[in-house]
Amino acid sequence: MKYKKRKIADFFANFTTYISAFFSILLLGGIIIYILSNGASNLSWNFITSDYKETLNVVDVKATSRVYDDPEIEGTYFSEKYGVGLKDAKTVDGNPCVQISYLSVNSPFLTLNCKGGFYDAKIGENLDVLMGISEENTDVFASSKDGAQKFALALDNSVEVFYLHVIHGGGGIRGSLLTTLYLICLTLLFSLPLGVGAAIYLTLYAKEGKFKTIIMNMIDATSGVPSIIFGLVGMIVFIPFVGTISGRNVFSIFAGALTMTIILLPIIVKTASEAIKVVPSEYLSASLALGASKTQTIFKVVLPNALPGLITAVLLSIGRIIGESAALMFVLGTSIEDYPKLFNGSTTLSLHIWSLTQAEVPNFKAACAISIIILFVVFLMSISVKIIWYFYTKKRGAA
Amino acid sequence: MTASKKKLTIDKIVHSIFLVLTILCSLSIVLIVTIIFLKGTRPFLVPYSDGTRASLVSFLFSTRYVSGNYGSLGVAINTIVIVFFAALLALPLSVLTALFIVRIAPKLLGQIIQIVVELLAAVPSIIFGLFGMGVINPIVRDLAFFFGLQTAGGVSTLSVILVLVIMITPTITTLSITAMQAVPSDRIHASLALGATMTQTNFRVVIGGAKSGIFAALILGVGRALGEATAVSMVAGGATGISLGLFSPTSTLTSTMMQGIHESAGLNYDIRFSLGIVLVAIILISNALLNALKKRISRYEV
Repeated sequence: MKYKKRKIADFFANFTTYISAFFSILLLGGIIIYILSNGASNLSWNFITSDYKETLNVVDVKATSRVYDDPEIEGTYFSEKYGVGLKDAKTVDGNPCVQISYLSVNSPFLTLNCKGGFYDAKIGENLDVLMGISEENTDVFASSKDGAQKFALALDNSVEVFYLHVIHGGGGIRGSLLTTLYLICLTLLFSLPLGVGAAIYLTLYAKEGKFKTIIMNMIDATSGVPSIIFGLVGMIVFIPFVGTISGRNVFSIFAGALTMTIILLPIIVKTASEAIKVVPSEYLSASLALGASKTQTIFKVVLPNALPGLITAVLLSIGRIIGESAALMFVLGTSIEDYPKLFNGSTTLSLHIWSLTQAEVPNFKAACAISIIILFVVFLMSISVKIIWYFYTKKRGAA
Repeated sequence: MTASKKKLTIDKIVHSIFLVLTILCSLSIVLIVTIIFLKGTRPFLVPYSDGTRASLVSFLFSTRYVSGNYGSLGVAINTIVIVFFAALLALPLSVLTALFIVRIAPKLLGQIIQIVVELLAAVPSIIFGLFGMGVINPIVRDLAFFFGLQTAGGVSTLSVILVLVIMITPTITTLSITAMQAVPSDRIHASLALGATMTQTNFRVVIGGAKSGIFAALILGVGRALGEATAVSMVAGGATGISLGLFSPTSTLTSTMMQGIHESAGLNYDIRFSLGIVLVAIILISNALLNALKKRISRYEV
């Protein structure tokens, strides 16, 4: 009887741990479900490869006397007068639009008049804001909100279209993807030699003592600095520094890479030190005993043997660069560019999300689609790190 | 003989190259501290070209942060209170999750949850921010509506606290797991042998034995919460002074620093470095306080 109370108390205590653990699973599940359900439909090859900025062409066109044959494609509304097939589609970032899905041979849409020349419409481009004149000399209007069927009808009704928008692309993330890749390459180029060099010095050269402790503490202290502080410092130090090279004091990918370098240094130094420490000291002694110099030993024995550990440092860095937002905002800026240049500002994938959510009408669908990419890469990196590190230390343990 | 001499010279050169690289690495913290200090004190010392100058007294003691009167006290109080409540919620959640993973769950389930927690710890803050905007804000808005209150689309103190809890729980949990795994099994066996139930042992001996590790985890989590910028400013909304109503928009130090990031000169820009000094000071003070608390608690450790 005495134990019954204890059992109940135990049950409730255990129960709280179940709930807490369940909360973690619920959370990861919630984030993944939210992002997938909003973003998956939007994630396409088109989304990844197309420009962010749409190009708008204002054109006019006259109908010819001939009538084009309807190819009778399912879901496509055909204008016999202009030889153009239209369908209801979605733009790359998820808004409904009227899209050209078919163009007849010799269609007048292949030689549209626009300001200062001709514009040839292509399949996949979107139409909007049509103004025309019908045979009875009345006005004809249509916009993308009317849908493809009405739009095609409006085309057929007009003998002359004197105003029409042909919109090419837009909403894609190619520029941000390229920026992210540039940033990863540049940052690794700067931070790996620095970080691995420091790790080699701290593990293989430095004697235990005050100097080593101070240096280690200083490097450790950097990892505790909030990333927004790195951003502020990067803006003050690296933008003018890059400015002396490029001649312009503007946001730049180069300055972003320098900022990321100081963010990553403590991570790389720590991971590389651990990787070097795991290399058995017998290898070093054997190499030195055979007459190799310390330099030769480091480059030919220690580094090749520590390679898997160094790869984990690279993977961790890539994950961090892709996810970083607060620091980069101050050095890369937040305006999305389609053709990123090293000495100009641009957005990484994370900053692209930031820009999308800070707009007047936040585009959550596109933001979630980008999040899928980011999460995929980040998870892939952290799982690979686990696997590589497991086999690396296991092999060393057996040796 | 000459060959080995050459080798020795190369060795010396390589040695000094590595030394230079190491010193460069360690100098980054010096750079950061110097820049923040120089830029952060600048607004109070010399007037700017347009004649403006911030007053140190109003910076330290005024609670209103508006153009012309930059008072950091209000946003600092917001930050401290928000992070305090976030830590208060996250700590039990993390410790109980860690206990479940280490002691209670079957081995396989425990490992799965541990992987889940580690993945959550790796999620970048921009995604937590997006999740906050897309999921937590609407929930908070509906909750406020349920109580008959109005919110600005859900941006509120409560959203910030929830987002921070979500962000720091995985961090604290991962480190608590390590601390709990390090509790010696002798102690657990001793407790069981003395007649305590498994649950009593788990809660008294395992958590008790891991408490200094848990405190270290808490310090890291609080540091992360204080310095978090992106996710917080995505759900905070913005305010100019003390604003701690659960359902009203708020501002923290970091979200204030994020405002108007496109400016690059003048008082309005430099004052952000002063806020940076305040932020770093708060982080250091909270670390020191928690460390002192940790020492006090672990004094009674067996």
